[in-house]
Amino acid sequence: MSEQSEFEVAYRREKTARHAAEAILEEKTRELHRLNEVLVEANATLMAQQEQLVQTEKLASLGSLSAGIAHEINNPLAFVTSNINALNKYAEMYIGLTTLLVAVDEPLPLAIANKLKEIQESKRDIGYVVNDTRLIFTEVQSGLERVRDIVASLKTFARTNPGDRADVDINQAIHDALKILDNELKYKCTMDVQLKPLPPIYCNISEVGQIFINIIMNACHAIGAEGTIKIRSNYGDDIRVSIEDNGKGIPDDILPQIFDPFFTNKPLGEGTGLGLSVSHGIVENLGGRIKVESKVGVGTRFTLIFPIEQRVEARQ
Amino acid sequence: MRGIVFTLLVDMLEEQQGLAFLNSVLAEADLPSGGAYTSGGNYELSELNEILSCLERRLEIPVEFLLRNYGEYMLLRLAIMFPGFFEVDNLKTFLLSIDRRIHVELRKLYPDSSLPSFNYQDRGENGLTIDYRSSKKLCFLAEGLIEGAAKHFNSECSLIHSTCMHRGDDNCTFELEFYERTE
Ligand code: HEM
Ligand SMILES: Nc1ncnc2c1ncn2[C@@H]1O[C@H](COP(=O)(O)OP(=O)(O)OP(=O)(O)O)[C@@H](O)[C@H]1O
Ligand SMILES: [Mg+2]
Repeated sequence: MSEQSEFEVAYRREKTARHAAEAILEEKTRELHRLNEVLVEANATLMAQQEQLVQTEKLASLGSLSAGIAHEINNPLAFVTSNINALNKYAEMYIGLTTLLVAVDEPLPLAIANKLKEIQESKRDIGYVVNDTRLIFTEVQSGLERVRDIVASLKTFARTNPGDRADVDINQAIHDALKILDNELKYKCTMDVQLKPLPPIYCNISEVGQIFINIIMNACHAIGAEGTIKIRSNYGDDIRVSIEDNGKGIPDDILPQIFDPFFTNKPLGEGTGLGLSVSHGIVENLGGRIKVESKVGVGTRFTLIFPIEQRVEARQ
Repeated sequence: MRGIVFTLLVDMLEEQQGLAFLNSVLAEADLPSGGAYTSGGNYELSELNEILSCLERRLEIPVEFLLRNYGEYMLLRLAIMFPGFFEVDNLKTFLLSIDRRIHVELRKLYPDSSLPSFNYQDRGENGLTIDYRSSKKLCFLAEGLIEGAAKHFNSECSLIHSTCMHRGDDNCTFELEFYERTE
């Protein structure tokens, strides 16, 4: 064999080897790409789970904290409330007495008559004091109610007993919530409710009702003058309820915070910022989750996802 | 430009013109890579143009004919290397899958590749218009690839290259007409 053809044979062999190497490279590249996709997906799942975990952790620490706080507040709250109620009754008695005195026209011992005259002359001030006393009582009482509500919400976090669980038709809970909210909703919200028959979930109906009250109220608040709230329920692998409003929407920068306890962007004194965190806690306790999609100026959709298998586990 | 475009061209030259011819072309052309291509690498488009103008001079065949010829060869080789992409019913389905599937998958696999983009206009069972857009302006390669695909699927089709970037149009248009094969 000439040297020339020796090289040619070697060239052919090398070329075949190169083709084989390139085929391997191609296959490895594909494999790498596929594995990378799996990794990317696993990573996304992990990140989501971690976020969930952080949220759960936040709620758990709030839970133990709030159990203590709720207990501490409840005692003084109870006696303040009962004292205020008693004081209110007494005040009514004093008001009656004062009104009578002011009206007295009979001769009296001089010293008393002078004092009385002083009071009579300041008659307009007395009228003001009487009215304002009543107003103060009304305000103090509604303030106490608010404190009571907040303490009740805090207790939901503590969740020392999950309450009475039973087979609950989620559609029923939605209807109950709508009935309770009817007054708030009827003037500004058009309700578009389409519920498909659902299998029961083993849970506490008043807790689940609380979730719908919170989310529907939020939707109503997000709607300006008037708007529509769409509620849908259906099920496949799990039960899904979506509550969609065409209200002001949630800006991207606050979206990650809306489930945080005490996060609110309602004016001072209007929202406690507990609605969504309480709802989140309840749904999570049932093994479910809440999904939010929102676009500023377009609206917001909350989707509640309840597992169906959960019933079986919860009973054990 | 992905190495496969070069390795297949080199293979074709060697098969059709012989090793000696290939060696002298690669020696004559001004190639930063020295002509040592592998499908795993990336090379400048200018290397392809260097080789093509060298071939044009040597063989006295215009570049557009060379590219058409190469496109046909390239496709038949691709069919052997990537049989999965060819598991479709007919030529038209295949052509539709280039932009929607083949080049999409390749883009994912090789994010650094710059593939052409196609726009399709389906003109019923026997007609298809393809708009070709690419900064590389390799429309004659595309023509050859389409002809190669017709051969692979054992079908016949006519191609009118009605607008062309080389004539100052925004994009190239291929108007295709498919025929039953009569033999
Ligand atoms: C299995 C089929 C195919 C595969 C695997 C494939 C793959 C490729 C690859 C790897 C490139 C190089 C990309 C780069 O340089 O960055 C390319 C370019 C190209 N492909 Fe495809 N292709 C296929 C079918 C076709 C067909 C049938 C056409 C016919 C129109 C086509 C038209 C082109 C053109 C014109 C280019 C040159 C780059 C450009 O114009 O920008 N391809 N293709
Ligand atoms: N449907 C909605 N559209 C727009 N913003 C919303 C919506 N739902 C919730 N939000 C935002 O999320 C915040 C937190 O909601 P959350 O229900 O937890 O508290 P809140 O409504 O402010 O107070 P409350 O404790 O009285 O419910 C709200 O202040 C509001 O900014
Ligand atoms: Mg709320």
